Order: sequence, then structure tokens, then C-alpha cells
Amino acid sequence: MEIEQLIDTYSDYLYRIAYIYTKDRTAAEEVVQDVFLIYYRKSHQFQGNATLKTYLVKMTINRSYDYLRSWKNKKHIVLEMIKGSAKGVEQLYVEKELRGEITAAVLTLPIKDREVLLLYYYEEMTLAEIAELLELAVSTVKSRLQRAREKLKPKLQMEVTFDE
Amino acid sequence: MNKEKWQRELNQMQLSEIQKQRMKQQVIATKQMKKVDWTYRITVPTFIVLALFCMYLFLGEQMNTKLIHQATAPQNLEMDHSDYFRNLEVHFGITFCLLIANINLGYFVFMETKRWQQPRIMSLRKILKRTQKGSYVLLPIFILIVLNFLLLTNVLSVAVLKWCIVALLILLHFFIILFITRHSKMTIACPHCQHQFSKKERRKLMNTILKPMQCPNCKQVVYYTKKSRKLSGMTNIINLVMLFIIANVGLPFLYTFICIAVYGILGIRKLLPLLTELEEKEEFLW
Repeated sequence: MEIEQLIDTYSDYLYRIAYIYTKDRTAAEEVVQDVFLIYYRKSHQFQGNATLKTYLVKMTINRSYDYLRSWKNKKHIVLEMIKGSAKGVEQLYVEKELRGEITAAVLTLPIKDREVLLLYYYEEMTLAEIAELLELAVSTVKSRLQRAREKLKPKLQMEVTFDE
Repeated sequence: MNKEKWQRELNQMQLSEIQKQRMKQQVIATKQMKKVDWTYRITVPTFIVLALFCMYLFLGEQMNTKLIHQATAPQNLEMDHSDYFRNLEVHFGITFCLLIANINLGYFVFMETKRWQQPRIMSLRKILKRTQKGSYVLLPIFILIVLNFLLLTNVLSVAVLKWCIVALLILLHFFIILFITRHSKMTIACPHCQHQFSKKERRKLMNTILKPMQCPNCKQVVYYTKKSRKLSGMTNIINLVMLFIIANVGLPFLYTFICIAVYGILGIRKLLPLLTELEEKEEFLW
């Protein structure tokens, strides 16, 4: 598949995944771009053991972790803590509106819980597939999922009561 | 948790067409950028050679010091030290060449690496790009110095010391010129009709000394701005000082002559146009 066609097909999908990890639209875009860049350079390394989509998803997860570990992100977090958010109130409101209530609630969870929820509910992967992708035991995935659900429950209920 | 609702929410999150296009362009551009890798392939080995050479010098220096100590012993008093000094000069010459090569290659890497897109680096690149033409003026001088090092390796170490001072001065001069030309616009435009001067027209303008300068398009009289006159005057003075130092450092006459010619020709042809700005009315300098 040509790279342009690949970008058209998978960019939105990978963008959503990267966003759930990074919580930042610009960073998510950067991550997706990096994923395609790396794939374009090293496409010969893809052996076809998994589907191309899974391969790209795994790359996106890895790149998102790289971003979260990077100094760029840490500097950004520290600066936001000191100066407050660089985004204006309007921009923050628009972003919140665009996110939707469930996404907003999911984004408040720690990354380990977020990724399990994303893979289970959004990508509709089985527990075994998630365990293989994240290199974890199935029982760990199960317990993380359970924990994430418990954490999410009060948040979503609160949103519903506020709406009412 | 409502699965469908979350999926719907996430599906609304999409990249715009512009973002996708930009992404495609970036991805394809990096494939072409691979050509730039030559900078690393040359710079890294050059740097390694320099580091190895410095290590060799360091170790060699220790051995030479031992030799000198041996020479001061009463039985070795007749030993000739000229070999030691000659070696020192050759080593110094080679280190100098390698340093210059490294500086130039470092500059290329800094300018050509497309991955470094931070705003601070981009602004620094812009400044360097503007002053690039000014830096060409000094390149032949660097080459001359290197040639001299290689030719004059049998001169006493005092001469080498002099050369060090000259080299440092030239480096300083280089940075002064970079500083002076950092805001140059690279183009000369007529203040009356906004006509952009071509290379030939620019050269003609630089050669006009006694007659009033005219725009070739609207034939109106133009004058240098106050700032432009001050900057070019300052550059000329610095150049003259540099020439004076080069002429008095004990170089053969031919090299001094070449230096003057290079300064004269390239200074007028390349450096002054960078500092030139025109205006409609003549201003007093003070």
C-alpha cells in the first residue's frame, strides 16, 4: 500500500489512540506523523505476522510512551504547572466540548487504565489480544480493566447528575 | 460504561484534510532528506580523526618532554632541539586544519539538519543564512593561513605563536562580521520605485564613488542611509586593522598581497552590498 493511501486510511484511527495516551492534540498529531515516518523508512521490517493495523497501533503506543517520557513533555507539564495553561479559556472550553463526556472522564484516569479501556472498548480487542499487545499476563489486563471501570464509574455518574 | 457512545465520541475526533496533507508532505520529504546524511558521514569521522590526533599529541608530548629532560642531562647537552620544534609546528598545523574542517562541517550540520525545527534554532539559522555571504569573505583567508602553516613548518615556534594570535583575531573578525551583517536584507531596493537591484546593477552601484548614485529604473538620485554608512565604515576599519596585522606578522610579501586582494575584492563585491540600504534624501552622519 502506498504511504499516502496508508495515511488516508489509518491516520484518524491512530490519532485517536495517540490522543488517549498523550491527552494533547498537537502531540497526538506529532506521534502519528512519527509513526508513518518510521514505517515509511522501515517498512521492510514488517514481516506480516500481525495485520498492518495492529503493527501500526503497536508503533503508535510505543511512540506515545516515548513522547510521555520525553523532556519535551516533561518541560511542557512543568511550564503548565508554573505558568498555568498556555491555552485560553475559550480554547479549553472548545476542547472539552469536542472531547465528549466519556472521553473526558477516561482522560482523568492513569495511563495504564486508559490504555486497557481504549483497547478493550474502542478497538474491541479480546483480553488475550490486549495481553499479547502490551506484553502482560491476561490476569493483569483483567484486573486493570476492573480497576479502571471502578474508577470511571463515579466520574461518569457525577457527569450525568450534573447534566440533569 | 456506554461503549457505543464512547466510540461515537472518539470517531468524531479526526484529522483535518490540511493536517493529513501536511503529514504526507513531511513523510515524503524525509525520504528525500536522507541525502543530507552525508554531513554526519563526513563530520563524525573528521571529529574522530581530530580526537585521535589530539590523543596522539598528548601522548607524543609526554614522550617529547622526556626527551627534553634527557637532553638537559650533561651527557646530552649537544642534542639538537630543532626536530622537537619542527614536530610541534607540524602537529599544530594539522590540528588547526582539522579544527577548521570541524567548524565548517559543524556549520553545515547545523544548517542542513531538518529535524531541528525549534524556533530558537530556526531564528539562529535565519541570522546565519543572512550572513552566509559575509562569511565567504573570510574563507580564502582561512585557506591562506592553513597553507602558510603547511609551508612555514620549519620556522621557529615564536612564529607559530604569532600565527595563533592571527588565527584568533581572524576568528574574532569573522564573528564581528557575522554580528554586523546579522540584519541585512540581502537585497537592495530603490526607495523611489522599489526596484530591486540586480547583481550587475549592485556591482555598478558599489563602484560609484564620485558621481551621485542613480536608480537604473527611475533614474532618480539615491543615497546611502546613515546606518548603512556607519556599518560599512566600521567594517572597512576592521578590515584595515586585520590587513595591518597580517602584513606585520612576518608573512612573505606574496601572501600579504593575496590577503589584501582578497579583502579588497570580496569585501567590496560581497560584503558591502549586504550592508547597503538606500534612501531618498541624504542624512548627515553626525
